[in-house]
Amino acid sequence: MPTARDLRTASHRVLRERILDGHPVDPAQLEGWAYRGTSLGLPTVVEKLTWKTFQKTFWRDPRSGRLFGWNVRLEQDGLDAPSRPKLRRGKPVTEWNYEVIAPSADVPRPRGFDRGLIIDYSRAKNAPGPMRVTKDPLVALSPGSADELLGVSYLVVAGRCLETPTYFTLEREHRIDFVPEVFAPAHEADAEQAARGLDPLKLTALERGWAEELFAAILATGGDEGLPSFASIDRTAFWHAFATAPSPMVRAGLRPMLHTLVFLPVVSGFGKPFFLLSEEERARFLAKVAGDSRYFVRQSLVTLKTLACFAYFDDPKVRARFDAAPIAPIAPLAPLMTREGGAS
Amino acid sequence: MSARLCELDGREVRATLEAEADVVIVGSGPAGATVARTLAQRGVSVIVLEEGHEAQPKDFVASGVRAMAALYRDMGTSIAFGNVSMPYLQGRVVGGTSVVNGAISWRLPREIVEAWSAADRALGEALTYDEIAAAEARVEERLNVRPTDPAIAGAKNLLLGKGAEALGVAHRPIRRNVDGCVGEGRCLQGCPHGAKLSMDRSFLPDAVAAGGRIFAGMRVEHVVHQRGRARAVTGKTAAGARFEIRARRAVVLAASAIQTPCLLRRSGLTQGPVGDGLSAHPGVSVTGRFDAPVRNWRGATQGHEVTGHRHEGIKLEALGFDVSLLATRVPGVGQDFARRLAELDRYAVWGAAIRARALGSVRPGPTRPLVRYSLTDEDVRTTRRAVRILGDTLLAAGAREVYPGVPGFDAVVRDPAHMARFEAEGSLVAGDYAMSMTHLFGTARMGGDPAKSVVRPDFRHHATEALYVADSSVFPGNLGVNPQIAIMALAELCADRVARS
Repeated sequence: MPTARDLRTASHRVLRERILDGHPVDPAQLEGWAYRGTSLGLPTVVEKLTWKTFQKTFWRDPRSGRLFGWNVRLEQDGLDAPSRPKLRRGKPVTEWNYEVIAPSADVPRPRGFDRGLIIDYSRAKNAPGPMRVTKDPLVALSPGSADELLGVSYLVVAGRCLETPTYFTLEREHRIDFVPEVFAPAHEADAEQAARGLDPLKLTALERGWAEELFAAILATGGDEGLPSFASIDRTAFWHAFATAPSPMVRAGLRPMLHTLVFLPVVSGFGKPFFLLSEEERARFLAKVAGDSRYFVRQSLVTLKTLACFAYFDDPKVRARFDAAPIAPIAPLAPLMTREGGAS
Repeated sequence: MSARLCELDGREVRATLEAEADVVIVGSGPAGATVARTLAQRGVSVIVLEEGHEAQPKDFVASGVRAMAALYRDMGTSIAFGNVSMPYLQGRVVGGTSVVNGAISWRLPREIVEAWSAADRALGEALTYDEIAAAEARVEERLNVRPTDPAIAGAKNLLLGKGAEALGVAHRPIRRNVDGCVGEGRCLQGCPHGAKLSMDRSFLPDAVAAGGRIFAGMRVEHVVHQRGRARAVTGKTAAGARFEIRARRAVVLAASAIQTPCLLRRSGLTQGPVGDGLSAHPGVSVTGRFDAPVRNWRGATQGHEVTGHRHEGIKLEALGFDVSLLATRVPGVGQDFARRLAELDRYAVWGAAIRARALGSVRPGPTRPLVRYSLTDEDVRTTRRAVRILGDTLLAAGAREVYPGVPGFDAVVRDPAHMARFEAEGSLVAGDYAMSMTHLFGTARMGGDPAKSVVRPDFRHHATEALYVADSSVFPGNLGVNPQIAIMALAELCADRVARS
């Protein structure tokens, strides 16, 4: 089975065959994720004028249950550089909104383009333009896995399907962390804002980001120990639970603990807050805190470590890593099971 | 059992609700379920009010954080404040804490009952050991209480037995209220197989079969009392509607040693030391690393105990819980922690329950009860001793390394001589120990003297007629052993007094 990386140099003919022979995609595996997109097969000059890399997202609207998404424009830092969204007024630039649907008789498509799902740009709010007539069939590169996908665009004009050479791969990247206003109407955002105002214990998005950086550094997985990295796991359920379920006293206590760990490096020899420390500095700082003589400082780390473990071990693929092995038998011990009285 | 147990789900009750029964019971945990079953089977009409929701075994998930958010009060983050801040865990679900406990079943030790009697003659005359023991026998019969089967115990339990045996200390398989346990190790997240005979699988269905009614999602806020007699309870449904449930004969409070005194105080029922005298079994745990896999999260959740130190106020138990919680007990941060996580199956955590002398207090707070509890100096010494014993037992069982986890002492211990030094050099500062609190008692204690107790020896409130307390609030002190069976036995006796009233 080819990987997304293998397909970077594939010809149009090979790519089209992969679309025709691709594997079905389970929409549930897409929900809540952002994918790194890479354009394939376009002339360099076109890529220079547009983009080589981008993000596609998949978000289930809780009101309608429909699966929507949007493209995120990325800074063109290179094929293997980390994704860095372009920002406008501090927010990621999004475009090309779409709904993800299953192929059906009422959706015109080229013959054979029915193996996976269809990204339909005509079913979401978009400015007038070519995207209103564009659809992308999407298939999985491996059976049963939605980690790597292949797509291509075609146009539907006057009932006729026109194929284009705009192939792309999608590689699972991270959980989505925002929803554009076109999908979360302003009045709902206001309501959420109001709710935030009424709930001063709720961490802000910035604070949650700090917490996640601390979680990632505390766990430090994703290296040669063979465990998934913190960045790769699904934290949605954890944050959802943590937003409401703990006692108010604990939620109130978390903020000062978090701020202590974030800003303590400034006055403890590192000269800058935690989020500006290098990986090596973060490790040194945490080791130092673990041995700190001050109860509150130590307890702050214990609390953040506990939360990090809760978040990390909630993810199904992390749990699968520990649930698979068989129970070790220790049968010879059975006869020793009881001693009454004893030497105590 | 897949049919719904509850007649009403407060999440769906949006209009004012009124109802009436002979006896209204607040709380569906071991105490409330026992009162409901006993009375219903005697033909008394009962309504049980539970703040939590009904859950079926198929709803129980393995993930620690999700289980705690769904089944535990405040996600298990209720805190008692004092010289060491300790979380205390309570279930908030139909069946109460029995749904999320380790199914450990102990009878009330004779010496405890004798001590109660010696301290309060009226109590001793009204509540005899033989009567309690007979009630315990009935409870145990229904709950199928048996020693843990070695075949499903799993390594952590068997190793604890091995360690205690090597040290020559009394130990035994824990007697548990299960039927068909396969050693999944998920007692604390709710048994997905329905094998634990928690209240939602035993006494509550019995009560319903006898005509009892259970309303879930109902938060009781006040006991309505007029002219010295309890008449009803009022509160809010989970959907926000008001309710009033009237009691023709009695109101029975069985909401736990934390919630019951708060309910009494909120209702203006401040007779006696209500909310004072909180006693408990603070717990401390120690982690050890073995060369072979232990898989602490598999096998009977708590299947073996060391009883040979009970005379010191220390009882050791194997602790099984979700991988997330086990990970929090593994030492290290950063890459050191990651390497240890990769070998998480080698780690075991054993705990010690301390029969502490400390007495705390409970008061209603603005949003949650305010619980204050500080260990005495002697309690801290006992805790330090318990850490040493846990370390010794881990090493005797074959642990390669033990992690006392107490600041100021070496992070890693590899031999008994080193561990022995802990008892001499380990910290005596309470805040240096990571502890949690289980088994709460004594906040509406029973006794003959209204100045020193809240309810009479027959469980009736001293100052208010037709009001009873049936939960562990009435215990005059802590037990040194797991209290579920004792709570149920006393609740059965309480129900008997209500029925005869």
